[in-house]
Amino acid sequence: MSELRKVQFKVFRFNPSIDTSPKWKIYEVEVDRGSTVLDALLKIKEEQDPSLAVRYSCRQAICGSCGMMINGKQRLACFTRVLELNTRVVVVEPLNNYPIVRDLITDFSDLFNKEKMVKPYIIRDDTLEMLNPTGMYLQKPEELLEYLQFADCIECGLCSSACPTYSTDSLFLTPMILNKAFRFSADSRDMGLHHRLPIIDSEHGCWRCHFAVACSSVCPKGIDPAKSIQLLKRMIASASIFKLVKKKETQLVSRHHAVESVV
Amino acid sequence: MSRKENKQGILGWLKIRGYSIEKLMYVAQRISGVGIIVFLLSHILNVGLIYATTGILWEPPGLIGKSVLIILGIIVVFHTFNGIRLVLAEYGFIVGKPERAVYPYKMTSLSGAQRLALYLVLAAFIVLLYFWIMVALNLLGW
Repeated sequence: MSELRKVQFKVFRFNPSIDTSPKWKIYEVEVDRGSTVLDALLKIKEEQDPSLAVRYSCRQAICGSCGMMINGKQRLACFTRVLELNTRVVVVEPLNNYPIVRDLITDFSDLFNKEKMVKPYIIRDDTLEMLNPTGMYLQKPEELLEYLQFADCIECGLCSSACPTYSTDSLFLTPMILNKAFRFSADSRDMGLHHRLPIIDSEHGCWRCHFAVACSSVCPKGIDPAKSIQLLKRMIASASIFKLVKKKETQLVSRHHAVESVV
Repeated sequence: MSRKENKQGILGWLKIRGYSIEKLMYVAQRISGVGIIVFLLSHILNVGLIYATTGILWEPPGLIGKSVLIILGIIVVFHTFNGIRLVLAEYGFIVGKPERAVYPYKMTSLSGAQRLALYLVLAAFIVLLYFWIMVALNLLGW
């Protein structure tokens, strides 16, 4: 049994429908070396203050629901051990730059609306095959590697919260969305870059990123959104200025043939 | 901006605690850029006003003028070197290639060629700063 230690939690409390201004409440919680910030917040909710609002789901850094500001930095509460923070007081706030729903819960509607705008799915010219699929598109391992890292995004929104451009430009697409746009544009099966260009190559698109790299500093899944945004810029510049578009020739394999080869 | 909106505004630009050195460079680039623009506008206004009132187009700068020029030189040198790094990074030349995200995660945009370029910028800035200070002391007659 590991040793228990008392830690103070300074928690942001605000209900916009009732309160005129936010307030801070201090709670004392006993934690061990395995306790995460989410464990501590749930303990506060169960034992001290049931009115505390926290959003969470998987508790293992997969769902991306419990993003919050912990000691001034964007982190996942379930992925942050209290004692590793090495402070006597842990300050917990809702994520910056998103509207507050209540206490530590923020509203991601803006992000999800922007996500729809960049068409986050494979777009192809062969409409008939899309409507009535007869097979599957082959992809080489090196083609998979072009986007795999960026496909791991759990949409926790930490990157967009840390982005300095988003803090002053609400229309900026944000790192999370631009990463999504690059993930699909870099896919060897996708032919939709020109459909996404009016959004991502716009005034509030990828060119508003000034490489502060705050997004990559806070990403809990190793996505490196700063890299995907710069690679997106390169892709757009190559396509728009130099007319260099990587020719995508994806081989369609019939379902029957694919099943036979597996057997 | 209301508290409910929770927008950081300009404070979001200036916040560096907890982030990487790249964020500090971003802040420095912004401040130096604003400094250069402010100098340029005030310089045009100043010279224009002197010319309009006295007819003199140029005269040797005094102690304040020299000090401003020295500070401007430091700012311009930093802004230029860091700007070159940013151009290279923003066109994807030094941010690394896409790779599998394997724990413990290592972001290539925060390491490798990009970080090396950042250190080179700082080293070149310090070297040039030294020479610039020598020139500045000579200019000020010290």
